[in-house]
Amino acid sequence: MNCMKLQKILFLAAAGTLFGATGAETVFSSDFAAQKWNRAPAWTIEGETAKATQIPGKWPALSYPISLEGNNFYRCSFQYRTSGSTDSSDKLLLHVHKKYHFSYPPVTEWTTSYAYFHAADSGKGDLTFQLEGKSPFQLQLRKIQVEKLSADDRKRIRVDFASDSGPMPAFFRKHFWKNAEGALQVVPAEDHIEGGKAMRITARAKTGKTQPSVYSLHLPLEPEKRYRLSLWAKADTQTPFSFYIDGYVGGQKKHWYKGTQTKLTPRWEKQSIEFSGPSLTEHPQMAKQTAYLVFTFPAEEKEKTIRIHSVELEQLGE
Amino acid sequence: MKQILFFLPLLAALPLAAGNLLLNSNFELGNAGYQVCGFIPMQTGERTFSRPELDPNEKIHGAFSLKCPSPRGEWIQMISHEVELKDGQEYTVSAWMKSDRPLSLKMELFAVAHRPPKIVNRWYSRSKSVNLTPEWKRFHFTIRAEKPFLHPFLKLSWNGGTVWFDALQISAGKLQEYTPASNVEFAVLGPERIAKPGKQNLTLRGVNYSDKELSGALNLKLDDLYFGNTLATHAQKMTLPAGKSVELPLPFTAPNGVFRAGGTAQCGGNPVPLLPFDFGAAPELPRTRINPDATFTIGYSSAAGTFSSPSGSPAFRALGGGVDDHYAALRRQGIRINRLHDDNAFSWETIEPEPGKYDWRVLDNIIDSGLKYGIETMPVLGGKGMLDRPGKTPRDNWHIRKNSRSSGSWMGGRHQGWLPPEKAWSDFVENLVRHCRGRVRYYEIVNEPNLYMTPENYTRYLKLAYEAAKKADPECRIVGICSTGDLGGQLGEFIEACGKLGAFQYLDILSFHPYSAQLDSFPTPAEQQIREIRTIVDRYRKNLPLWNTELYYIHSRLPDQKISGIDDWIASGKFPARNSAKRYLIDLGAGVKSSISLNGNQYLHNDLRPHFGYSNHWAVAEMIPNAHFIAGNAFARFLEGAKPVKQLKLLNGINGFLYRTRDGKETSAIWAVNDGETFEADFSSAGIRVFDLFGNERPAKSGPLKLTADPCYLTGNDLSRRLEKVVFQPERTYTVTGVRRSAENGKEAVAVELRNNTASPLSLSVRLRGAGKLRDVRIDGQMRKTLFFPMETAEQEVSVLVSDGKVVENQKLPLSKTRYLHNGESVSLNGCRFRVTSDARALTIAIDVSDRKRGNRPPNTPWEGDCIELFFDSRPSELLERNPYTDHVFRLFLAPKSANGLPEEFSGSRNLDLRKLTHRIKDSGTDYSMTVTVPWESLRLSAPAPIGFDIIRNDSNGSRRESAVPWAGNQYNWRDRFNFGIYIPSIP
Repeated sequence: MNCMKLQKILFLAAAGTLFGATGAETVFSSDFAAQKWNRAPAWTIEGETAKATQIPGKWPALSYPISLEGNNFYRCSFQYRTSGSTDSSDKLLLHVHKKYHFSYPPVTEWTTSYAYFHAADSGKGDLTFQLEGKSPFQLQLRKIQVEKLSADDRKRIRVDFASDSGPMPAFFRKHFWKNAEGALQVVPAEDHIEGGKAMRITARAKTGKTQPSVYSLHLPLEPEKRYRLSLWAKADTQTPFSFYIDGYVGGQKKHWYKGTQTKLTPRWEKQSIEFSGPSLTEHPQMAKQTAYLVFTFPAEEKEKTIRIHSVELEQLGE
Repeated sequence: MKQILFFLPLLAALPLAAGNLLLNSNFELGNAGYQVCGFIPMQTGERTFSRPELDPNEKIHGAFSLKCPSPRGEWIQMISHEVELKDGQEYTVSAWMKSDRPLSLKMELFAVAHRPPKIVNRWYSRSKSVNLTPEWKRFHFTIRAEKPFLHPFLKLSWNGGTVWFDALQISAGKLQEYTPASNVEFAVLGPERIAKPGKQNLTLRGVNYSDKELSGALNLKLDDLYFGNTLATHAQKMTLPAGKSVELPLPFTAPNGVFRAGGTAQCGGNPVPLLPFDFGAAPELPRTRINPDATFTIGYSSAAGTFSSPSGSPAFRALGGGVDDHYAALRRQGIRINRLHDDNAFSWETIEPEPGKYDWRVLDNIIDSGLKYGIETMPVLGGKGMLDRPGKTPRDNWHIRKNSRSSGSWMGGRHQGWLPPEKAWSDFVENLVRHCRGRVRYYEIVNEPNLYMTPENYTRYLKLAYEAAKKADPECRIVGICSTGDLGGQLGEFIEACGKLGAFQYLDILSFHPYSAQLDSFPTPAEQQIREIRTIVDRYRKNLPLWNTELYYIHSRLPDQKISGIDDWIASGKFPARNSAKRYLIDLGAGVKSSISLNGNQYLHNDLRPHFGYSNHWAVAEMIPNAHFIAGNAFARFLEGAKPVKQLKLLNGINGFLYRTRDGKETSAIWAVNDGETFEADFSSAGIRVFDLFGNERPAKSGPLKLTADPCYLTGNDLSRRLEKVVFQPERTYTVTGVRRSAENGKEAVAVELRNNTASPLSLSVRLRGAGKLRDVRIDGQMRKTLFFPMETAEQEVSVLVSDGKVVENQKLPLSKTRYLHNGESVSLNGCRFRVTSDARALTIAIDVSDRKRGNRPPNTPWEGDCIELFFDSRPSELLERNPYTDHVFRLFLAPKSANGLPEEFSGSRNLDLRKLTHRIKDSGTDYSMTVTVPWESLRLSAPAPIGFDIIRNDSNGSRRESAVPWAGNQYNWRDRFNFGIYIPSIP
């Protein structure tokens, strides 16, 4: 067994543990030695790793064509790390077939990250990684993989922070933080029953009160299926907290979302809601079959800290 | 209980700039902040007490002085609230005083500090004696404050006449001109300390000492001193004319309970003093005499109301009221039996100071006073005639003492058992009973004889007393045995031994003192101990009535479960009223006929001296009831005269009984066994009425009510059937009962025990913080399970994370150090060497002792001589909240021949069948060696397993033991199984 194959098996085993995927079919794996990737001059290949240095004001890209089958869910995973990032606009962009777009923050250690999407149509197109940002940061990328998710895979999608090396979580980002200061960080969660890592959200309002949010990347969401969305959360002091799954599509009149308001306390408590996926008759824009998570809470001038651990989107029944 | 916490804000609110630390120091607010008691000699038959008065005709400052009348010239004491002093600061105590005739008065600053372990029972007194005359004069003395006595109070003691007080002052430095503590002062005043529930006639009085009109803003409230909540608030503005006082009624209504009417006051935006008023509320109880033979009753010991007067001689202490007030208060708290013990009033030596010459005055006074209020007097005979210090006591020349002989037993190393002349004993009993015939029904024969008398001696004196008493009054009842479980007393063994000797034919009621099983949360639950006593007693005399005749300390065991080596008797006497109520309820429920648990001083509330470090009754001079009083009143209202029906089996952690009341109705009382545990149940939908500890009905709201460790009474028609419909839910579905270092799979591990508090199976996830391993466990309803985690910490504390899938609980628990011993390991210990080996069948301990000299050892106490003690706990990782011995703890004693001629000894605890063990003791004359093999099955184990293990080498080279060196534990191994180390057998 060669070294690369062993790494893949180990990687798949890890992904399976974290995400409950048992029968995912790998449709693409990066092999920089064998595959000829299109790359801007800023990108170089060294063994199994692609490297690039951002040129401020440019968007150097690395791409490779992949084929997708229509009416299927996919998960793209990869490992990346950055150095030298000094600007908050720095990011890694991922585009699939120019239809599905994802963004990832700088991370200082190797981090495994993910992108979920639903291919409506069959076809061939590029898998493109692109740098963006105002500082000349360096990025390394490896172990790119695209899997087709089976129905079993989609029954339980878990988002935790075990494969996040931080400091920022790869799957979440701040949203509506104009009047708020704070950060998202991956931190140890030794006081959680499972231990591991959690996402820490610290926020304070610059003036008065504000309602900052944290958005996730997209998760698969099938129409009219019953779901339970759950997460473990705690706060340094008791605070209101809302969490949603949101299918917002820009420019559409219809807006599908499901969520709830709760209170967080200094103890880890499991929060959950149950809901049905959207009816496509009522919400045709949800044919994209993905939605993102929203966490939001009132920020005040005194800093609040919230921790999130083990987010799960689980299909119910059957 | 919140008394101390409530009082502290008041003290903190004192204006720091004020020169005078005493509030209401010129009595413009009545006697708020001060209490006056009198001492009435019991022999005189006097019953009244003259209360202090405000005297407008005699004054130094303001409109009044305080006049303390003393028409009979008896001892009187006035005490102030406590003050807060600064360490090292000089203070001067001063008072304007006069008397109606020349007399001497002692001015004293008094405190007792007790904050163990550093400060234990330290007494402080700085005083000056002064001579008063009919002329006002200011007296003073100066002290320097010193730690830890920074919260003293002023105590003024005198006899011989009436005294007036005014303008008292404690101020920093030398004597200063008198000033009140503040320009404005307020106090809540009440007409009575023992009130009826309902609207209270409380008033607020304010005084303005300045020469201009001032107004005060007051936030008044009525706090429940037991439950810690505020029942009512009232905001009040008060305008105070210059140099005047103003009084307003307060609109407070109180249910049954104990309360403080107080609050905060401001004048010109600054806090000013407001003295609160503490009181209790409970209805009167019937005073008609009942028959305790047929009626369950509660009683008190030492309820004769006596106390040492300032002269040192015992007298009735009039706590703001006379003798009748005292007995009325006793009855109002449910008391039916007044056990004369620890009372300083009833004693053989004062009744019969000379042969055949009797002085009944004090006893008659007590008996007749009690009967007036429906209270039976039960003298305890024996007293200092049976147990006393040898020599240098006032009794050295007493005719009984001179003719007594030693019983050969000692108690506490200072008190010796005495055996008085038998004829004198018989004569005394006969004369006493004859004198009291028709007025006294019950006589208890000797207090706690198992501590200082052999069963043979006790049975002899019991027989003599019984025969003499029945001769004098065939209708009297002899209460006997009085075996105690504290101070090392073996309660059950003494009863059994006396039963074997035929003692039970010389008594009508068997008494016991259940200190070793105070409540149902004890390792041996109280009701189980009662059943065990019943079993023993029935072997010798079936259905002999049982009485609990003393239990001054009633604890749930949780606060002191880890034995620190300090027996804090002062703290032990303080416990919440739920505990006394639970004891009454258990006694009644388990078939005891009378519960005479508390001491007669334990119902007193100390309102003004929260830092006082000794028993409250040393710091009070007024009869203010505490929660024990009100709980006793409620118990009597619900259950005096009731009969037990059955113990209720509701849910683990909840105890309770069903009773039939004297009018034939079913009533129940239930409670959470352990402090801090809470359950919920919906009683209203089952049609059950719920009353709290004090007898207040809890609102009949729909939905669940909380059930805590405070008992509640349940009533309703067909109650037992209705109770079957009630579902009890624990607030906490599980409990981490404890952690300790143990072993699993041949390796050291931390054991974590969990208890499922519900009736259904429970799935939990458990992890030790800092250790990666997460364990999932399913525990059946009402059961426990222990999980083991590989040892990964040397810390003395461990965080246990437990999740039921909804919430993660993080509990920090102490993790004591533990010594480990592995199979075949050899250990040196103070001149001896031991090795423990084991195989699939048995455990073998081999000990070699270097000891050139054998010493003496008393019979039946091998540990007092040359002896190896072995300790085994075959379930060291179970019942982790309980360090006392369980049925799985075993002891062995191996002793060589002693110097005083006792043979080799191989003995052990009762639960160990020594016939299944093999042993060998070899004594070379200089050294000795021992081997003992203990089959695993003798330890109730089917296979080798880690066990708790310890060894103590006792060494005697002369008349007594000189050293006792344990391998793992300490001197408390005999009662604390968590002291043992852990032996780890090899895994096959």
